[in-house]
Amino acid sequence: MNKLLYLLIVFPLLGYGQSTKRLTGYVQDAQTGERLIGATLFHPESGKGTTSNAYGFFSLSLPRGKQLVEARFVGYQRTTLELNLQQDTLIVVRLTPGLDLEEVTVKGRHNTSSHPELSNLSFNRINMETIDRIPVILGERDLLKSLQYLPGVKGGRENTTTYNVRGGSDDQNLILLDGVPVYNVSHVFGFFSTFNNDAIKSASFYKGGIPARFGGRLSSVLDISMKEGNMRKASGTFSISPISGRFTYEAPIKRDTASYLISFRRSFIDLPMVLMQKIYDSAQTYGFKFYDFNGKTNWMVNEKNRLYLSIYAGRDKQFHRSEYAGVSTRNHYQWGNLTGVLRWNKLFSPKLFANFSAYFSQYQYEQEAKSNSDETFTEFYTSSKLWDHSAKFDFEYYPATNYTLRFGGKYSHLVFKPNILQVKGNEYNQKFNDQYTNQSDLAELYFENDVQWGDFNINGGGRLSNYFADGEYYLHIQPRLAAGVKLGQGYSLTASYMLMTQHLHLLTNSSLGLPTDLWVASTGKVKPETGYQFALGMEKDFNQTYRAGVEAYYKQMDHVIRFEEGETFVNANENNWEESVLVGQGRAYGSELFVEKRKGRLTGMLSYTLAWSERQFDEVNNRNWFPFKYDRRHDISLMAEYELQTNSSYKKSLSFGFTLQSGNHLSVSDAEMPGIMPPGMQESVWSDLPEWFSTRKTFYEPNNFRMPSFHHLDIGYSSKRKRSNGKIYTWTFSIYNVYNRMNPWYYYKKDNEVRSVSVFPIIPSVSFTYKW
Amino acid sequence: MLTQLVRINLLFFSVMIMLSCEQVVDFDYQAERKICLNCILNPDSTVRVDLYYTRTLDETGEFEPVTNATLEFFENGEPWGTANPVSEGNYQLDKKPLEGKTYAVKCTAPGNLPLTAETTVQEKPDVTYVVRSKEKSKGWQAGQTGESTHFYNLLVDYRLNDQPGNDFYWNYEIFWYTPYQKYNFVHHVSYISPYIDDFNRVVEPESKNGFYYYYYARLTDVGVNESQLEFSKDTDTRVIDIFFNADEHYDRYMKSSVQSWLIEEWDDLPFKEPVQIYSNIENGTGIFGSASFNYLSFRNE
Repeated sequence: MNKLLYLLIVFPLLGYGQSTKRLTGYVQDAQTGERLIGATLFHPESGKGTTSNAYGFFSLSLPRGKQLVEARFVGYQRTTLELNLQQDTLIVVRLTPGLDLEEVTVKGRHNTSSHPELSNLSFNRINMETIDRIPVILGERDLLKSLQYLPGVKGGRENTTTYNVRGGSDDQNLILLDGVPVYNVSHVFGFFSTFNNDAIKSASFYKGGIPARFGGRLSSVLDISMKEGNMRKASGTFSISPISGRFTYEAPIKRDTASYLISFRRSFIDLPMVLMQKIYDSAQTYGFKFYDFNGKTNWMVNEKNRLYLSIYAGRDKQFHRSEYAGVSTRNHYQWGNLTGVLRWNKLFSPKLFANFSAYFSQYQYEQEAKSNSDETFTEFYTSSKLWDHSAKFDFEYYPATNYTLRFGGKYSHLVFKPNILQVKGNEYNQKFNDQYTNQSDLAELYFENDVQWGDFNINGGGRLSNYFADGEYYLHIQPRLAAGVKLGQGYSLTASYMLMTQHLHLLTNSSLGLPTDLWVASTGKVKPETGYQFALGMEKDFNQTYRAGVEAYYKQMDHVIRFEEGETFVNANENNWEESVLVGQGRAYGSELFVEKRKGRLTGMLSYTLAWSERQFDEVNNRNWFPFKYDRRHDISLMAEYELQTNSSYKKSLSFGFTLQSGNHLSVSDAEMPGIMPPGMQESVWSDLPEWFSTRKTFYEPNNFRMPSFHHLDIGYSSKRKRSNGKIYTWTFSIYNVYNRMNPWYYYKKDNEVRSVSVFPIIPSVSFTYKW
Repeated sequence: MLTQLVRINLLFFSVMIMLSCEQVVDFDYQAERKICLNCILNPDSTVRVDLYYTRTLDETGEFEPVTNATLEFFENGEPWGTANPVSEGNYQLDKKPLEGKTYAVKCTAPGNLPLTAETTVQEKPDVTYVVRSKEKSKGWQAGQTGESTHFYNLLVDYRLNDQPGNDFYWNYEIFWYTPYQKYNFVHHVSYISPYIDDFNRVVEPESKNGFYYYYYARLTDVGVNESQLEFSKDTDTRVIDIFFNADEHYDRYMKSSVQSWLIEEWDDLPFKEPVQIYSNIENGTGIFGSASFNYLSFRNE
């Protein structure tokens, strides 16, 4: 291990020491001043290139004198900069949105990806424009559901936002919003994500070769960046779908210096319900609603300092009130996230860029049920809370064009109050589990080397984490290594290894993204999850029009948890959650294949995944391995778009989404056996005893039943019209599940029959967006 | 424009609701047919074994008995006896097991692999009690036989002296059911003790304490081994209060059985982890466990 770390530190320094002038700067949208993440800066003469970082910053070493530098970014016109470099220079590169109509000439095999060491099966930069046009259910565009078209990413249940990556559990995905972990990412019991697309600038998704700057989850990272706010003029977006309305407004506070953005989304679900109750003067009132608020402001103090402040608040509420026979009953559930982050970008020198952040993220769930009459009073209250307060720093050092050193650290203080229960009545007032509040602290350091030698790219580093909770102390070293080489004729080969540690666990039964799902800290009994993954891939690029690739992976996970059989999280139990979980191990392996068409009127990606995922717990199934419930052997996904018309005023397109997957696993009792009464009681008891005294139903292996294959085809039509005054009108029509496939959503028993419930038949919808 | 949008979407919603679907599923149950051996050793009773074949969930009728099996018992590794058939599927060995000893069973039935299992008989629960208060019942009606009587409500303090090693205590109550001259289970056990595993707690705001335990209270000595477990509960003079100390296998079998029932009956939605009924029978299923009993009667209080 020590030798490996030594190599990871020293190895990159071999490329250090060129004598050149430094071109640094920021890449931004010419119209809005929005910084662009992952834009490419390329020096054709030397064949060297780099990409802008998460704040749009880049640094490039070039020979002294007159130089040409090309800047490009997807969806923007390519720009060629003519520079006379006599000294280190700081510039702002402004790219104009629009199609790059110029024929692309490949000059050398320069890197245009932020992660040339990773395959397109391990790393994706999500195109938010594409998400706006793909067919969606009920017109509600959703980043998390769009991810599920990627190979190796499987949704939990139909149309829920939780997802499993390469056989991992749904709690093994790190989801960051402006660098802040969001702990509950669902609205409406998992049907919609908390992320409002109108406020999102970009998203990057890693499922293999995760760089050392990310940590805390075993399987994947989704790094979402909010828009910053238009620096040049006031603009806005209004969107409406059958489910919700969204309004986003952004404007400069001081042109090219400071700006802000606010975005609000509210559901309409409760409005027809409340209307009907009013019309019929119902003795009951009930409803459901959710909202999101995103706010962000930034201030460019000077060319070397910039401040950002981001806030996110989201809430769901379900309520029910009734008056009947003198008894008043009130129930409500509510849950939500609140996050905030203050960031400071500091350019110490042309070679050293830094970001300092302080953030909080909290999640709270409450359920209250009250019943009152003249004589009696009862109340049941349960709540769960999580607070995460963190500070972190990230440095990027650019000693040479082909070498970037990243290093940083983070300190987090986390407080968990899971499953606090209170039961009140006329004569009693019991409170449970208050004593099980956990506090934990996490300190982490990382370093990461990004090196390019000709056609060979490597990203190597490590992450050190120190975790303290309830007197327990865990130290983990997590080496990461990813390498890629271009072999010529468009072929490339990639390989990666990552060791990850996860200090938090999600207690969930259903993988629906229910509000009762709650993160808890590792303890002495429930240790941090650890896991490693190897991946090996090969890709072929066909003249930048087609791309095809295959990647195989193997993942091992230790200290994974699951509920004990018969347990659920929010229940009436007076015990610590640790007593309700089992700790075991998991393994997953498989292969992913994709073909992508990137240019032309028809674009899209077809992918296939062959995968296995298994679990083993000492207390279950006599210690034998059994299939993970989301072990899906086969998965075929297609996402495509066909442009019907494109010009400066119109864009009309048809889009298609298709998925065909093996069904999920379920544990279903399929055997019956005689029961046994307590000794001596067999003959002496008279009663209408429950059936289980005489007959017991069971299964011989967990997850013994595979649900039917899951598939649906969705189509969409998008019409975008841009007026001469700059206003944009977009209509999007979608049909989800075109051929009305009844995919079972869940099963239940009634009258000795097993019934399946399909929730999503064919669903047409329409949505509208207006931008100005 | 907005009106148009609302109209279109209302139409779409109506179509969606009409097309939502619930349907009966025809499962192809493929569970392997196994022999189920059920036997709980009790130091107060002779040994009784039930031996039947399992069936798939879609089969109906009686369980098919295993009639031609040979059941050999071993005590601390030495032959102890052979159980004889007393009726179809029922076997008996006229011996009583002893506390602290380990027993094994080997069941041989033609055409099947031999079934084997082992259990160690636990010590009886060492329970003492003191009646703290009593109150004559009011308004209790005579039974169907015309018998007229009264009983007392009691508040009883218990002391359970835990023994070395892992013990798995269970507590339930039966009461004399006069019309049929039989005992009946008390379906609800309701008291507060820090030693109760509340896996079967049911919230019922109208019951005392706001909850009860379904049929049994499982008491655990985890973290308090060899201590005196003290607690109080309300009972009455009709009740026989039963404590038993199960071995690990019977404990897990009991717990999984109750959990399975709770899920089957009360949780239609799939939000609880399904339960596999515990079995320690090698090459078969069922339970070979042991339990030692202590019965407390308050009839004379």
